[in-house]
This record gives sequence, C-alpha cells and structure tokens, in this order.
Amino acid sequence: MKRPFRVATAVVAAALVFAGCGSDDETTAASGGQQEDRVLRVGMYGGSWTEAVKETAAKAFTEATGARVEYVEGNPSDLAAKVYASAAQGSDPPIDLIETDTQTQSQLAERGALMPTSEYADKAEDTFGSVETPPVNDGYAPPHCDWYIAMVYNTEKFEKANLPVPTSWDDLFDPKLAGHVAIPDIATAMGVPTIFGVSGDESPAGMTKGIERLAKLDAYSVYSSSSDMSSDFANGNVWAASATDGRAWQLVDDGQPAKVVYPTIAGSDKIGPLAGNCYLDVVKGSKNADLGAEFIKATYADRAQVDFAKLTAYLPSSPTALKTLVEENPDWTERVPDRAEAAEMDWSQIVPNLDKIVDQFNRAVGR
Amino acid sequence: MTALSASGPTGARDTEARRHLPRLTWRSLVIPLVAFQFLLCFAPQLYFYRLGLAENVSPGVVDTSVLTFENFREIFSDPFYRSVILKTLQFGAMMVVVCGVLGFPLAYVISRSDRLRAPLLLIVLVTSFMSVIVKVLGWRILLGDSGPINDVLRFLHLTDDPLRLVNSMTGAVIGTAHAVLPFVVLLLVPVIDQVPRQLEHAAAGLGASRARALVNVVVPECRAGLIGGALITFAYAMGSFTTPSLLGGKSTLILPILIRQQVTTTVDYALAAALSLTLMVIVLIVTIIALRLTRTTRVSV
Repeated sequence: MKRPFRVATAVVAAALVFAGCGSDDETTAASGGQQEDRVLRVGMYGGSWTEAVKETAAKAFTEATGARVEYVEGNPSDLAAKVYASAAQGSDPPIDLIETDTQTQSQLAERGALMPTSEYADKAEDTFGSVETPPVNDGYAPPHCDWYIAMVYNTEKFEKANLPVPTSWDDLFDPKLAGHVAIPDIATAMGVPTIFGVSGDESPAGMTKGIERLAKLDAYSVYSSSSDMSSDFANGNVWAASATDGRAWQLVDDGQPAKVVYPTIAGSDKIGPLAGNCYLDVVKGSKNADLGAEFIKATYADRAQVDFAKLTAYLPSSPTALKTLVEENPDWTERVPDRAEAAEMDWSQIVPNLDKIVDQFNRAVGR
Repeated sequence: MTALSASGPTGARDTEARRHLPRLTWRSLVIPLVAFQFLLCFAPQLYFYRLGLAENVSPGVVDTSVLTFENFREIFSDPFYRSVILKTLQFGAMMVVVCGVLGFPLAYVISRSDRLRAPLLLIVLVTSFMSVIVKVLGWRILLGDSGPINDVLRFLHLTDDPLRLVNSMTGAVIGTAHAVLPFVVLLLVPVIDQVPRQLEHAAAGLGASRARALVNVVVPECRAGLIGGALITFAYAMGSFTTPSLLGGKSTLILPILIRQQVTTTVDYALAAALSLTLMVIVLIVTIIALRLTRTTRVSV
C-alpha cells in the first residue's frame, strides 16, 4: 500500500513542478530599430486588453524604435498604488507608462505622479489632431479610447422572468431583478459613473444620494474585476449589470444571450454617461519618458485605434478612426451612441471629493 | 594502545582548542533562519507598523516624524471600523468551528483506517497543493445561484429561491475552509495516531458506543492538537484575503480586505498600518491564550 502511495505522490509532485515551470512571455521582442537595449515598462490591464495593445500600438512602436516593451498587468488603482509607493520612498517608478481611466488619471495628476504632456502633447495635436475627446486633466494625455457606461442584460432570463427591456438606470431596481444584478466597485473606473447613473447629479449631495440608492439595491455582486462580472453573467447568476460598453459588447461577441442598452440617467433624458476614457501617461520620474511619448502617440494612430476597437470592443477616441471603424464594420453603428444624447460627467466636481465618495461607498454598499 | 598513546597529546590539544571556540549546538542551526526571518519578514513588518503611529499627510505620503495614536483612536471610535474588526473575529471563529468539525473526523478516519489512510492522505495532500485561485474559481461556479449546489437544493424542494452562497460570509467560510482544512488534518493525524487504540477498546468493553468513545476518550486526549489546529485556522483566516474577497464579496468586509482598500484605493498608508497592527495584536492575543490553554491541557493530561 505504501509503494503506490509514494509513486502517486511523486507523480503529483512532478506534475506540479512542471506546471509551475510554464510562464507567460510578457515581453515583446525588439524587431529592429535603434534602441534594442532599452525597455519600456507599460502598466495596464491584462488579458485581451494587453494582447490588443501588443497587436496594434506596441507593434508599430517596436518597429519604429526597436525598443522592447514589458507589460506589468494590473488595474489602474493597483498600478497607481505602486506608483505612489515608489514616489513616497523616493525610488524609481516601477513602470514608465500607466494605463488609466478618467478617475485614476485625475487622482494621479492631482497628486503629482504623472509627467505633464507638454513635450509630446503638441506633437500629438499636430499628428493626431483628430483626437476628439479633450483630456479631462489639462496638460496630461488625451484619451486613446472612449467608453460609455452601459447595461448588459441576459435576454433569456429577462424573457423567462417577464421583465421589460431596460431603458433607464432605475430599471436596475426592479424587484424581479433582486439578487441578480451586478454593479461595479468604487475601486473600478465604472464605480463613480454608475453612482452618477442612478443619481443624475455629480455634486457631493448627488453622489451621496446615488450611493444611498445603490446601498439599497439587492446586488448579486459588487465586482472589482470585469472578468468576474463576465463569468457571473455567463453562469447565469447575473441577469443585468452595469459595465463599460466595451465589456458589455464583448459578452455579445462571445455568444452570450446578452443585449446592450444605454439607459437614461435618473431624472434625465440623457443616456450613458459617456463615462470615461482610456489614457496612457508617463509616470513622473520615468527614465524612458521619450519612449513613453512615442508609445502614447502610437495609440493615437487611426489604424491602431480601429484595430484596437475590433479586438476589444472599446470605441476609438479619434472621430476619423470611429468613422473608418463604422465604414469597415456597418454593424458597429448600434455600438456608437449619439454623443449629443449622452451625458458627460463633470469630473471637476467629482475629483476633489473622490476620497469622501470612496469612503462613503465602502461603508454603505454591499454590506 | 599504540593508537591511544599517539592520539593522547593531540586529543588533548583538540579538546583545548574546542574549549575556546563558540559551542555549536543543534540550536545554533536556527540562527540563519531567525536572521532570515528578521531581515525579510519582521523588519519590513516593523517598518510598516511604525507608519501606524505616524500621520498621513496626503495620499501616499506619511510624516514619520510625528508620533500619534490618532489612527488607533479613529479605528476604535468609528463604528464602521469596529464592525469590521467584529466581522473579522466572527469570520475567524466560524472558520475554527467549521475546520474543527470537518477536520477532526477526517483526521480520525485517516489515522484509524489502514485501508483508507494512504488514499485519503493523498487526496488531502493534493488538495493542499492546488492553487487558491483554482479552488476559488471552482467554488464560484459550484456555489453560484445557478450552480449545481443550488440546483440540487431546488430539485429536492429544500428551497424555492437560490441560497446566497457566493458573495456572502457562507461562501467565504466554505472557500477558506477548503484552503486551510488540509493543514488542520495533517496536524491532527499524528496527534490521533499517538492516542492508543486500546483506550477505545477499553471504552467499548465498558459499553461505550464508538461515537461516545470518540467524544469522551479520543477528543480529550487530542485537546492540545485541536487547540493547535484551531490556532492555525484562526491565524490563517485572520490573514486571508483572496478567498474572502472573491467568494465573500462586499458583504465580507474583513480587516485584510479593508487594509488593501486603504492601501490601493484611499492610499492612506498610516491607517492601513494601524489596521494591520490591530490585526496582528488580535492574532497575538488569541495565540497567547491558546498557548496557555495548551500548557494547561498538558499539565492536566
């Protein structure tokens, strides 16, 4: 009896050792150019996001500069925490470029953790003057993609429960949806826009009202990772979720029984909101700021934005790229809401109160 | 005799030389480990805890020239933080009960069954090798509203609506118990091994049922091991983050999750450090109590 047990243990141990040997190659090899010995460390979301960046902007960047790109995966808030920690210790930043959302960029900019973009913003304007969305934080990078907050719902579950097609954020509170809704955590880029969606007011009082409403919602989950929400949606646990439109459309593209709607904001006939943008900024103290600027510019290229949108379902920030995208893929029309109908959040009201909003949310929602 | 006479003076010199060298005993072997632990574990911890007595000037910036108890005052005066501490203790206590109730019978079967010992030990070992993330993702599917466990409960008409097993304390306890149970079982098996089977036979001879013999004879003999297992479980639960956050969701806001929030979202290192120190002190107090109980048990045994 002892011998088979030992053999089995050895086999299991060997399998685990071999399993542990596998690793993802996070590095894009230099394909030529002048700066093969330089490495640009880019902090961004992992998974399909990073893969899409590798396929689009990073490829063009490496071809142009020859520099290698190393990806450090993480959510903007986690990456920002690393940046703050290194800045507090006075050490070199752990990454050269950071992928952020509007909320995180605002915080980083306010705390002086980003390098102002004057060096390459002008170039960006000349070369990629088509970038439509201005930077919320003046002096920092314009966005390379846009997203709206959307509601994704499970058509089969809605039909079975005889639920109407949602049209407003108020519909999240339908008693029949109790226990089947997912909302984003405040630590994510979607947290504040979702609060805005259910309150329609970005003033401190409006945010408090929105948080109080969300606290009463019987949510299945308050997710801190969009992939968790996708998994719960796919398993049928979540029937409706507040998510970025890019993530929502990914569920449709994956063949889930999903539909995406852009609900109207509470007390308004505006949809959305056009909640956030995707930014890449150079981290203060980076020794590769020049390479970082080149990488950022590569993300503004119309072709890069079109291909990035096809791979991730996130909309280009450049109107030219957006036009090209719809021309090449007519079915994308339904994925491009009319900007005039969308509400844009006034982040200048929100950013000064962010710490309070985060604290209020953490104390009230999901507990 | 020749050899003895030849080694005589040399041996005396060696003994003399050894007398002047520091005495190397088996205990000396722990010195590198202690130094390693101190440098790589305790020193950064102490540095971080020190921040708890400092002032958070702005996000990510702590003024260590100030010595203040303000962070602790905030923690113990704010009902929110007090409720998180209570929830953390509640979570730890539930874990101890669940792991004790599940772990002891399993360890007993492994210890007493010659036929099942090897396969069960293998299962327990393999379970302990598995990645926490893999386990958690599996549990998320199993415990979900549309998962097989709720399906079975509905099929058996034990419930009409799905039980909220994920994103609840229940899910966090189940997932964390799955992670810590192998360690508890591996700790208890040798403890039960040392309890002579004759004691159970004697109890049976005196008319006790097997269950009664287990409860009245084996369990008291294993009290020290059970306290050790409870201690491991409690300490593990108090420090666990991944499983409670993925299976417990927002409704299981325990200290490790709150500390992470303070570090990454609020970027208040001083408060995070004070919360960490609070957590450490709680675990320390419980450990001291448990060790005293173990000592009492040893004396009474």
